[in-house]
Amino acid sequence: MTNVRRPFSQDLGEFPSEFPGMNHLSSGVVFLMGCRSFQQYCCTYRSLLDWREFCPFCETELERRGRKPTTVSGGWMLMPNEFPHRNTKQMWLLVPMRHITDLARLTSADWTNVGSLLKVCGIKSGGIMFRFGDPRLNVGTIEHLHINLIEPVCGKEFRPPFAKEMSEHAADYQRMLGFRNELLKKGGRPWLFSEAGISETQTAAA
Amino acid sequence: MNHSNPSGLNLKHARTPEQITLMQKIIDDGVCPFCKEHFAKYHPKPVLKETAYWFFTENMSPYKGTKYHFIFVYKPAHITKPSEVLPEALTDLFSLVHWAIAEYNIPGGSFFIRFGDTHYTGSSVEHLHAHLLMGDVDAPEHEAVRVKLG
Repeated sequence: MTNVRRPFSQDLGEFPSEFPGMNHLSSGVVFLMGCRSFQQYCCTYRSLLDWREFCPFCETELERRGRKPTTVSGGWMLMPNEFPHRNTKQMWLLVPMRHITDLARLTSADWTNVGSLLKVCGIKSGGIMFRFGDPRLNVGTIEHLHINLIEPVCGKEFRPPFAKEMSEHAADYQRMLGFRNELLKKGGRPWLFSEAGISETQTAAA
Repeated sequence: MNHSNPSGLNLKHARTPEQITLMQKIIDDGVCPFCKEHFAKYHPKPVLKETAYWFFTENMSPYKGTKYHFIFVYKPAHITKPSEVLPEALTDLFSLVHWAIAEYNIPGGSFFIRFGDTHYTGSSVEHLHAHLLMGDVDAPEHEAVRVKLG
């Protein structure tokens, strides 16, 4: 596997029209491929180009969207997942307040804080999961490290993806090109970062 | 206890014939296969690293589509919830995760723990354990990995 963690810089016109295979894509493009709506695509694109202003788990974007953590402790925040799966009773996110994208940067103090916050959401039966590193190896969609806390609905199946087949990646790539084309029609990057572009594609506050 | 067997096993969530055969034997023996006094007897893979709090080993039946599928099994006691993990064991777990990522050169992957009632979570063993996996995405025709969490 090559091109791991290559800085994201592609212009909108630089994407090949056919799926070139995962080894020819940067991690940023893989994050974009995971987007399931134009709104999510635009938010992700902005965050890849300027995480300080637009990372969905960093202070500026959280404030812009009016999202407030339920609990904050030791540099970590606990908040509800904005997009819970229908087969779950509750989904929470445990997120470091620093923009951490590399698991190795977490300290033992971080894990102690994670341990104490795990008790706050009160899930008796469920799952704790996180993805790390190259998104081609875990199909993550947000670069900022985060831990998912999940309480499934008993008897309903919930199977989050941890790796996809090549045909699924190819379909994701084509969907991403559709969003790219829609963005080009609206005015490309200048529109993406304009007030109109931000307000039109901003995820609603939870 | 969520099960009719004292082993804390849920046969419904076994994925392979080998697992079912082994799990049935464990249920007949009436023990928890992940408690440290029984672990070596029932787990068919070698322990790759051991700390005061965890066994680190390969999953006996790795998920299809994975290049690596490791598990971390809690040693100090038979527990079923992360809230019961000793604080020092939690930091030890993540030291072990960092070690495994470096040792096996894992550039990206996923980590998860299922806990509590296995009827909710899809887990086959109640005793607290964690998974670390990496999809085998460079293999030709590799399969998707979707893990049952409910």
